[in-house]
Amino acid sequence: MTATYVLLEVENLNIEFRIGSEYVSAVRDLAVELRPGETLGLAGESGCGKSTAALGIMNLLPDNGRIRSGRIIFDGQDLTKLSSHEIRRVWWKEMAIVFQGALNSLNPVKRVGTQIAESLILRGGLDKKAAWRRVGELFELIGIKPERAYDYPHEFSGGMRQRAMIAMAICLNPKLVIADECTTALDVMIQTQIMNLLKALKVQLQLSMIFINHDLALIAEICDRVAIMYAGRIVEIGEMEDLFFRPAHPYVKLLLQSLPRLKGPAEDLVSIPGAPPRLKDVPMGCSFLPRCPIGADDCSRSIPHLTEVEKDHRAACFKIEKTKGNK
Amino acid sequence: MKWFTSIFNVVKALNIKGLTGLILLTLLLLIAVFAPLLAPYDPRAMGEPEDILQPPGRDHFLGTDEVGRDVFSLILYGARISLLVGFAAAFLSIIIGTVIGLTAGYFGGWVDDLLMRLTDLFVVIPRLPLVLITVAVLGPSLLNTIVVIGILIWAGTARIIRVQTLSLKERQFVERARSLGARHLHIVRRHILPNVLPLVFANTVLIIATAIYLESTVSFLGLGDPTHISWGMILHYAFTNAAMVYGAYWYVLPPGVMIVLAVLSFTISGYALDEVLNPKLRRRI
Amino acid sequence: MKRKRYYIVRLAQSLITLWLILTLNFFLFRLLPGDPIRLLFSDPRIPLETLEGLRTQFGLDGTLWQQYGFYLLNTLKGELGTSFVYNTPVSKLLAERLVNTVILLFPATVLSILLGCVFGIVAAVRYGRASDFIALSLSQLLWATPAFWLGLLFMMFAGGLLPLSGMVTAGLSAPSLWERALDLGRHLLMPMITLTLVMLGQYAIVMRNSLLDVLTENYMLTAKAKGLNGLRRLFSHALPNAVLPVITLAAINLGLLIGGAIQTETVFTWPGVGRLVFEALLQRDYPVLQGAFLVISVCALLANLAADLLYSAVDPRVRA
Repeated sequence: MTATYVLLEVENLNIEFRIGSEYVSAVRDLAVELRPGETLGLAGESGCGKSTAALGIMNLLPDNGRIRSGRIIFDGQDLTKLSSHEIRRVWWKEMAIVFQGALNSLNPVKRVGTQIAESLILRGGLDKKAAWRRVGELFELIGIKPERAYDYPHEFSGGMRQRAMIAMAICLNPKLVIADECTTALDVMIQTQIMNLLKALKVQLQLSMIFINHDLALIAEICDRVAIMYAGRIVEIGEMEDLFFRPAHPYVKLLLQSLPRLKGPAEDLVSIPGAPPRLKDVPMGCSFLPRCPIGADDCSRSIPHLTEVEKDHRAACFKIEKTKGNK
Repeated sequence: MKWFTSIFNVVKALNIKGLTGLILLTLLLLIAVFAPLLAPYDPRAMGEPEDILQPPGRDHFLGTDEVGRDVFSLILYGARISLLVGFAAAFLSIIIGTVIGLTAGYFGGWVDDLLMRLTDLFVVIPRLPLVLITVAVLGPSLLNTIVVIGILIWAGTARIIRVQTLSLKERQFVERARSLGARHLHIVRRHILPNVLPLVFANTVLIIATAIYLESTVSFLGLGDPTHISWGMILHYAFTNAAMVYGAYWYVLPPGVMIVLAVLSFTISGYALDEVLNPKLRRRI
Repeated sequence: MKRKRYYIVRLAQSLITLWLILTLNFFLFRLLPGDPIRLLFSDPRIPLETLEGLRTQFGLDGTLWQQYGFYLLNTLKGELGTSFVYNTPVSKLLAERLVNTVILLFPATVLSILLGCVFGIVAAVRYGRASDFIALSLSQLLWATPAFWLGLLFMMFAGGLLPLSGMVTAGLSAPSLWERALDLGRHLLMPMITLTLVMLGQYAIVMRNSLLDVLTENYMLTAKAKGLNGLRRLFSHALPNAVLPVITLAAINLGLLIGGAIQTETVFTWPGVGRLVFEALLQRDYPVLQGAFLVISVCALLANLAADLLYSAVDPRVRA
């Protein structure tokens, strides 16, 4: 029986960016919950706002971004109300993020082990020897020979760098780990390695995780629940199986249809016509309307809110009553 | 007509600083071109004994020098040589640098190694002493100054061009052209040069600034062409006649200010142009 | 070890460049018209036989290539000819003056790098604000200012307070070490400040741009997410990366530094190598010019090599 204690509760999160002299909304009315030990997936096309949401949840937005409104209740504390000093104490120790390792997320002039040991020493209270011992243990956990900890990031392959970033994120045993596009820019075999590692860590360390990815297949592999985002909003959220087998939102249905199947008869690849709107040009009303196969004029009048499709499964669409019966 | 619109677009894209630099630069050019019309006196005209080293007054806007010449006229005429040498030397060095950079980048291999060794040589050797000594050896003259400066400052340009050529060489369209049997010169002219030219152009303005600076220093140290006036020459005479000791600020300040303005305006314009023409650069200055 | 191999390669490259410098030096002075032996010994009073003897000694009686060979040999032996003006061996002159130049250059270089970096860091950290604009504009202004002109201005406006020329006051009666040091300091102040100001602009601009680039890198976001405070992120994560182009610049600048020294030493009559070059230019003292050019170039070469090796020690990616 899952506990009713909620580790993370995000309410009505609105994030905007300053571009030039005006503010553009990137994430609108985001609301998610995460219970301990759960893995929540955050999926969507590039630019839908999932990475921004992740940074926003950690209150780690860049200088030109800000949280306009909303609450982020993590372990009882509202992160939006914390001072910069207080939030720094939450970072990494309670809540950590794994960035894409393929990019320059590791400092090129510092040894990989040093970058991990740094956190252990400064935040974890270990002395240098104990810290490096722990680094060795972590390396074994991620499947890299401990002596490689003395190497520099450019001496690691892309997959190794990603695994090092994972080790760095879990080194202080945070309550929540956000994995932001950890498999992007890696080839399929390495992707599998990373996914296996994450799955193993999830069990071993009983991690609570937010897993962000644009690849629905990977989301399905590891997530207990999933939220699909489009143009800065969550359009459908629910238990993995429910959403996968009974998608309610037209966008989600199309996404699932576009996943090529390995087995079964060969089908034409389905893709969704058009492209997601740019941040500045989000249409009035339902933002998916221009590409929606079942959209009608009245969909443009107001923004659809998440309404219940079945227990613990909600979608933001005006036409749900109609589609509920299908599939 | 297409030329005009592209220049107009570039100017429009410049920020305030770049625009200021460009305006300043244009003003200096105008001064240089119209010096004979703007100067109240013949700069070579020496004055009567009582006109020596006069502070600014009614007759002389910027006072006079140690032989009674009008400083203001000297400054205006000085612009001509200072800018002329700047442009000519820069032009020469750009050509040399571009040719070497293109050759090294395009052919690679031992050609590249050889040319890079040569380029390294001219990066390591201190510029000013080399220029000074070479001018001393060849004899101070306007032509010599231009040629020597031009021949000795191409290293920076060559390096930039080479890097750009190297990356362009690997691109698809070059490979395609080569597989179609195009000759090297053709490929360079049609495919690489147009993509390298914007870089060259922005770099040119900075080189002009360097050339102006070098010319003024060479002239100040006594190796300028004595038959011509440049801002550096004016300061040379000021120095050798101990104008500082006499507190002749009207003699010492203006030429230096002009040099600073010239170098500054070319530098700022160069950076601004670089930003506009070089897509890789983020907004910095 | 990868590092050792890199060092050896760089050393070999430097030796080639050194050889090229020597060659350039040789052929440069062959551009002069007239008898090459007169190039080194122009005193008209030297009897013909001595001259011929010298000619043989310097190998100037052979073919161009033989002369070249002798030149290389003599240079390596430290035999650089005799000054027309001072009638002393060039090597001796240079040795004396070099010390004085170092006394001037060393503090100026250190100060300009330190101050320049501070300006650059402040400007980068306060990007887009007034202090950034001021620091940047000031740096560009300084960079555009000729060292000799700045020196002239200092002389004009500060001439009353500080000595205007020379390195020491002549004719001091039995001065103590402290008095001598103070005297030197007073003479050193203006030329050193001039040189520092002229050089610091470039360091500021390079440091600023480099740090701005580094601050937008992903690993800086990682450092922030790790909960590290601002000072630690700046000094432990950002600066080690940002300082790399500054090291490169320092190496290139050594070439320009000598140029600045020539100007400053000339204006302030500081008895260093720069002033020597100026005087030799005026009087066409070719042996001195040839020797000075060699020394200056070799020093620049060594400094470049040192900077490269320093860079490779700091940036692990280069050694790969």
